[in-house]
Amino acid sequence: MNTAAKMPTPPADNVINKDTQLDKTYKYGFSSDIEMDYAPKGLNEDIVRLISEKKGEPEWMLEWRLNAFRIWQNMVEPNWAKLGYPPIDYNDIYYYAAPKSQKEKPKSLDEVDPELLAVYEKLGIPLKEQEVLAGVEGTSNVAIDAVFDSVSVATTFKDKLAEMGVIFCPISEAIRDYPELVKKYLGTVVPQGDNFFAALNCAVFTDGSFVYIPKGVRCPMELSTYFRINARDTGQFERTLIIADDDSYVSYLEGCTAPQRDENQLHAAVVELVAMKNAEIKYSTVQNWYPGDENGKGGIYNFVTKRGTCKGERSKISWTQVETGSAVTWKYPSCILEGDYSVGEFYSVAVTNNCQQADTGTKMIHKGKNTSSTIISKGISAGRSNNTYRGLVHIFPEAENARNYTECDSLLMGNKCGAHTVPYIRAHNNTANLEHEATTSKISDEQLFYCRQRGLSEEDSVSLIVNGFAKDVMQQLPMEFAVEAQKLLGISLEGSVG
Amino acid sequence: MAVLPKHKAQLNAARKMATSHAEALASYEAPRGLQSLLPTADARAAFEKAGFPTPVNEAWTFTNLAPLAKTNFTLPHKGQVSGAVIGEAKLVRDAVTLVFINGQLSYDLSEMTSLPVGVTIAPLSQAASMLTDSQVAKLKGKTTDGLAAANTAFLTDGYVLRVDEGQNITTPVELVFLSTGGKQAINLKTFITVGKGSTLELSEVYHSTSEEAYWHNSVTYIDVAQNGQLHFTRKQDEGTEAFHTAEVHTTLQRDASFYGFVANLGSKIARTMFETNVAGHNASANLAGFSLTGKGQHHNTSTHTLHGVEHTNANQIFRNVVAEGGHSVFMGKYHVLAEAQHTDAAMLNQNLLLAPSAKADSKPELEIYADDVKCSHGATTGKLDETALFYLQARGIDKSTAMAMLTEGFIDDLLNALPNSQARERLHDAIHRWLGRSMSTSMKG
Amino acid sequence: MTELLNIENLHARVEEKEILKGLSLKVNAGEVHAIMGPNGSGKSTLASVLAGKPGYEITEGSVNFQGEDLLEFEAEERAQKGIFLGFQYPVEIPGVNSMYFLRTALNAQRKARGEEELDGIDFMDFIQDKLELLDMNTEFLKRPVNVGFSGGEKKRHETLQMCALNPTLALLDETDSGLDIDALQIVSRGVNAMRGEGKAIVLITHYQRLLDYIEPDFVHVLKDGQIIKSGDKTLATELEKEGYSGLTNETTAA
Repeated sequence: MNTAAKMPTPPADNVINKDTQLDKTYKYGFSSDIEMDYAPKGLNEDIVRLISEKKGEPEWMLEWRLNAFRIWQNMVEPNWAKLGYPPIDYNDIYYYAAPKSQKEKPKSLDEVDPELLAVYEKLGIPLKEQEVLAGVEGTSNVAIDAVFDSVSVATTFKDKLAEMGVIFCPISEAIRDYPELVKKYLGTVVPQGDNFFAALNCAVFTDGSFVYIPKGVRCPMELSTYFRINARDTGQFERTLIIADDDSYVSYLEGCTAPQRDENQLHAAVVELVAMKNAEIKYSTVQNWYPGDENGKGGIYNFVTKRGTCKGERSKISWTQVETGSAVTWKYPSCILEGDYSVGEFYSVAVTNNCQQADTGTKMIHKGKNTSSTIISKGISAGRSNNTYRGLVHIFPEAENARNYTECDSLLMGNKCGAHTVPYIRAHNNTANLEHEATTSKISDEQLFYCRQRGLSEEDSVSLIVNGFAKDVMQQLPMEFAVEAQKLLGISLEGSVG
Repeated sequence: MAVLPKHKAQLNAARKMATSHAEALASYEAPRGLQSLLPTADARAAFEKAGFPTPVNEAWTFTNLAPLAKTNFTLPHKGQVSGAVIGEAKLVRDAVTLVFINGQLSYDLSEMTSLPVGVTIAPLSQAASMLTDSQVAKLKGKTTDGLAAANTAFLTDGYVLRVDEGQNITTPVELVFLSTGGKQAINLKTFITVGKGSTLELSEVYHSTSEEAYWHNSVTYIDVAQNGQLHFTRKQDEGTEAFHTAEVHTTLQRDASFYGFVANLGSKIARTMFETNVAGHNASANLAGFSLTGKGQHHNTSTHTLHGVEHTNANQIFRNVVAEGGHSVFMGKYHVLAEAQHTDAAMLNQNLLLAPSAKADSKPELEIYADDVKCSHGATTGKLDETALFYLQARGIDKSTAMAMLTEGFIDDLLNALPNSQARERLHDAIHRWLGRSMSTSMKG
Repeated sequence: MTELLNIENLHARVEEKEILKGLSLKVNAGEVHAIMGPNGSGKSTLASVLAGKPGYEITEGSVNFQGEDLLEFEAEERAQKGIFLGFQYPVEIPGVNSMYFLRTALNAQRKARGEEELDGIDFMDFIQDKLELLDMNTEFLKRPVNVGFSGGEKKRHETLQMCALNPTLALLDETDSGLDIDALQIVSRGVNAMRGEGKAIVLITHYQRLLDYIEPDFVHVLKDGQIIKSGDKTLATELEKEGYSGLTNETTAA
């Protein structure tokens, strides 16, 4: 479409930021030497078959993948987002890479490659996953399904959850052990042909998480997945499916990091959420994939389709995201509000620095009566980056008394970056009540001086002010994530003042 | 650009319809005075290549022009209209008035005796010599936009207006464009120049004596020179089967002010696009307007305001009222370049839905590359406040009157932006009449 | 007497406009100085320059603080060395609660001085009596910094920060303007609590009223970028009666 102008790619040779601190910003930039098991590069039906075979999948799953692959072949990459990147050669990517030691599934964590555990150790922060992964039970109320490149490595707390009837396992396992559940819901929220990247994911997804919360169960702990891209030239295609049955509740955390590499790596995930009557799903993401260096070299291309359906009445889906990483982000976690009185929420902080580009937002599709949605988006742009909020609020004619409140605020740091707001507001029922507000501002010199006069360094002052700007979103994060996320905001903006 | 297969099909259909439109008008000849300037053949080729706009095009994503594209139009013909009709249509009674019937100037109906010194105005077909080099370039220019190409390829006429330097013109100028129906495609092109330090109040009225389908397609270029000021008001009150498409391209120099106002009442489909280039320090672009959209109608108001230098201002407020079966669209955009520090730009779109089947779409957009700016937008959509309605009813006012009063209140203060009291009264009356008509239908719903 | 601050022949400008034109002032430990003067005389500029606000150009002169060239340091370094500026217009910082702000500032200063940082619980103990002194409660600290504060609340908040950060030299820029008598008394209580050995306070004010509550050792008159007259507290009373107009630039500072 002609208004989705291509962004000029920033010149790679000039304007190196004065502040050399930038070099050390990506603290997760290491690569471990675990033996990898690759499928050959490129994509064709044979690769799809190979992936399916490697995962030991049933025939129906293979057929599903092949169908998606055929759909994908007839699709074109979307170009309406405010993103510019060189063409992706989909035949120059490894679609399957498994750490070798995982070929035989470990019985316990002790059998996991020590190198792999060391990787988690290096990841340092988020939560106490480290201890959990190391098997120190009772240290955290977080259950983790770790996806290392493409294979789910270990799922903890399984037994405790199983007692309550909660299923939390790699989706590959769910396909084998709970085929009826998977068949019933897979692809119902995000259809195979929904978009180019979703179709690709359907064909080649390697692993991801599956969660089922039975009727009336309040999941006693936060469920967490740790995604990490490790191998060179591998795309990571996780697939997550979460079903919250009637009157249930679950809070799900997703953290992502990727090692520092010169090449761009592709990531195209699909997340589907289904909330039945009175159920609530809270989905939180802290995304700090490698953003590329200060000249825009390397970094993750992050094309993600996340969507939830509030199927039952009075159900609720809440997305919270803190996006600081990736070279390119294309992501719109959305809610389809089908059930009467259902609620959708989207809380987002997106930070872009250097040459990062983010085009992110949400879709709130109101179909049920008395549905309501809230969108709070805070975009922070620095360096030569571009940060776009793109959102749709659509009130269908049958959605009586729908409510939406949207607030999108942008903060610019310097005048080489861009902050954009592209809201689509469609009210097709007159009982709708929609409010939308957007502002663009900068950190004022007065604010900076005030903080510095009290003894804070310039960097700390910026971090403090930015965290204040993003507070409405940050406070939606579960405690375990909040501290890391706060630090992340500061780290992501280092060197961007002055 | 990658094109999706279904989009390709739409584009092909849109091209096909452009071709058949062009074929139907094949006997077209450019006005004699413009034949050497107008790139008629190239523009026709460009039109057929681009086709009519489709929703694939982001700017038309909420507006489907298929009913226009599918209509078989003819070339404009001569028409007869009485002076009383003009009096009815006019916005400013005392203005210097030029009347165009089916796109052609009617000297009989025009009133130009009070044309003040310092203002020159003439139909475009007779004023080629008045055009500046840059205006000629615009006339000759290539375009990839289907409607602009069609405008050039099948140009009927238009006008050229120039205000010399240092003229504070107190007599308003008004243009009345009347159609007598009969499926005509009327293409108008206009060039307006407001000289240094000059001021002008200008209005355009689009009206019809017919309920047949016809198409007014206008492209307007406005230049406001340093410290100049232009009030430009458009009243679109075409027939209910009419199509109206308008682009207003404005360039503002240092300290210049532009006050654009649009009142959308008529037409089956009407779109007004204000494209404003705020090119000088301290220039300000102020846009306002309203739509009253009834059954089977579609009104689209779009803006694109470019801020390219430091210290410029912009303000926009558009209020749309939609009755049963109507559809209104607002698409606004501020585009602030990195050089444009200290831009102060606000945008507000408020939509009032009077009936369950009323639709409003809104896309208030910001694209900002400068950090030290104050840019904001707000949008609200909803129905009339129940409490206020009840309050009025409790005082003994019947429901439809109460609704009309509240709706009038919703729009009325916008009219204060208009400099001319006659125009304010005229629009106020038009709002009042429209409400009277549509409330009775809405009440049934 | 130990000399804390020594300003000599200070010239400062903002965007080509010279505002301080050869200002000299000495402040010893233990003293309270009041600087008075008409609007536009350079009072706020003096405070801003001393605190290191960006945007001012020093064209001549020197400022010595505890034996160091103050002008060499960044704003936060001056704060860490014990200079506090009470803002005439305290700045709003949305989303940052006052408690977190103050603790972060305090810890930044403690860290710079090689002292141990306070955790949340220690900080609450630490701040409690200061809150009481200023008739404030902890609810106050939960609100975002200065956002939606009344004029009096803003100034009390400034005073609280001063008490908590315990500076060597406090510069209070029109802390009294816009305050009612109650608020003024409370703020004065905070300032008087600050008085002590080794410390100094510079009050910048428009009105003699403040000096009824905080008794200065010296009063200076600032006019057209220079101190044109200095005296004891009786000078303030004099000024209240006579106004500034009678004073000319002929007198030199003591």
